[in-house]
Amino acid sequence: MATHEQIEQWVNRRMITADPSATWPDLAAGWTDLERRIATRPRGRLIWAACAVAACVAMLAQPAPRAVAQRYWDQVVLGRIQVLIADYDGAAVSVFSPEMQHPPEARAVPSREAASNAAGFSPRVPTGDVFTAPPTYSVTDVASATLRLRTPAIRYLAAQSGASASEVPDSWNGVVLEVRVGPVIIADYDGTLLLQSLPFQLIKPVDFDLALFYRLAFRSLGMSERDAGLLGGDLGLSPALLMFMPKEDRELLHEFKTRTGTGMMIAEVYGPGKTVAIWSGRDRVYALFGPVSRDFVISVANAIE
Amino acid sequence: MSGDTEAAAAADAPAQTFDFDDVFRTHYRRIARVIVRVIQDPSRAEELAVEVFWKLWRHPRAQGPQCSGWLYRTAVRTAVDELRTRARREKYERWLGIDRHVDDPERSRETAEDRTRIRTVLAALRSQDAQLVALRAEGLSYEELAQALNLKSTSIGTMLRRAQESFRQEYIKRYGDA
Repeated sequence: MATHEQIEQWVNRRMITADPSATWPDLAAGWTDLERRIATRPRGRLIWAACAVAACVAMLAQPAPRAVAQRYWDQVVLGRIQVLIADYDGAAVSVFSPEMQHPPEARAVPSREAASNAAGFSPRVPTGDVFTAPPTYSVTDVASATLRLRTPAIRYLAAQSGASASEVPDSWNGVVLEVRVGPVIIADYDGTLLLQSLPFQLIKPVDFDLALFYRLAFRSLGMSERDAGLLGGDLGLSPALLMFMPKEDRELLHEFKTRTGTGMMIAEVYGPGKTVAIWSGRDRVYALFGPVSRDFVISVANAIE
Repeated sequence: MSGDTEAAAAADAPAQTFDFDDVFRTHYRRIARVIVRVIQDPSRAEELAVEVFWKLWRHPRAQGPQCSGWLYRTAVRTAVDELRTRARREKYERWLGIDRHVDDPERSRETAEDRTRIRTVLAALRSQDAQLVALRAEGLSYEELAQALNLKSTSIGTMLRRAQESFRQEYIKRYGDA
């Protein structure tokens, strides 16, 4: 019988295959990469969060003449956001994550009235003295995020998670789900940004089974059949934007309650001490970005609606 | 570090002095080496090593005199996670008929095969066993292993022996004792 020393030598001899040269890795290159990551990551995460506003589900069918498309497409209002903690590099997230089409640019407008005219709705801002000075305004165009469904991939994921692959309809293959967000009005209170838009729109074929889609997505992401069925059925009736959050960021996510419902806060989204809070109000979706506390977010939310 | 990032890091820093640059200079190479032992891919290991330090920068509570244990723990977990993610992705891509194989003329076929074997065996082990084997191969002492993986130093010898034995059995089962 081999001694521990012998086993250790045996193992380490094989592990040595990857022994790199003494000068590897390049320290300066690593430092440059780290600086770049520190400098650029916030923007990436801002986009990720704003696209709570963008990570989602939706659908278009094959290219079709507009008149025909209008007959077969359906628009659903998304009333809320469903956050899913997931293995961000896993196959399921890549299959169910949409692509943001050209993140919208914000353009400055001179007044609240101009913002209303540009966006097509009137911004709601906090009453009282929540903020000490009036904001400046800017407005974005409509942004869209799309997801092209691939039946073989969804079937594979369904089978991997213990669901039945045959539940995935052939007709889903090639279909594109689309979520439209905006226009967004941005009120800038000296660096603290209050964003608001009308509810998002999900564009899908009229006969697309949303409940089934949600259920299969949740199963693929590791949820039990029972939970996936319950949540899928729930979202089929009242659709939500699916937002995937990397597992490593789980501790950054917190819920909060306003007078009208529940929202979520994600800490350190675009830098240390910076937070994004997202919540739904009456006919609106709101987001607050900045160095703000939970209590402040709640006071803003309650002062708006 | 300079400019805005420096200011941001300073604002986020804990009360005691913590020289992030110095910690990077001291540990970066070894952290990258721990990762490359697991994933057997030097360029990806460099990226993941930077990712580990980026996580340290974001977590002020991990910054302090004991940060080396946190760094090794995070590095080896990141590496094992990467290994498993790759294994899943490769399986998924094979199923979809996607072939990502790229010939690398700098690597002999034997070396590439050896690396694949190590990856396969480590991915098949329990996560903690893979972490122990990789960190020990990088030369960490029992005490350092215990600190890095939050384990009792009195039981580290037993756990390491079991982990290495698991590695050996898994390797021999798949590839023989060559």
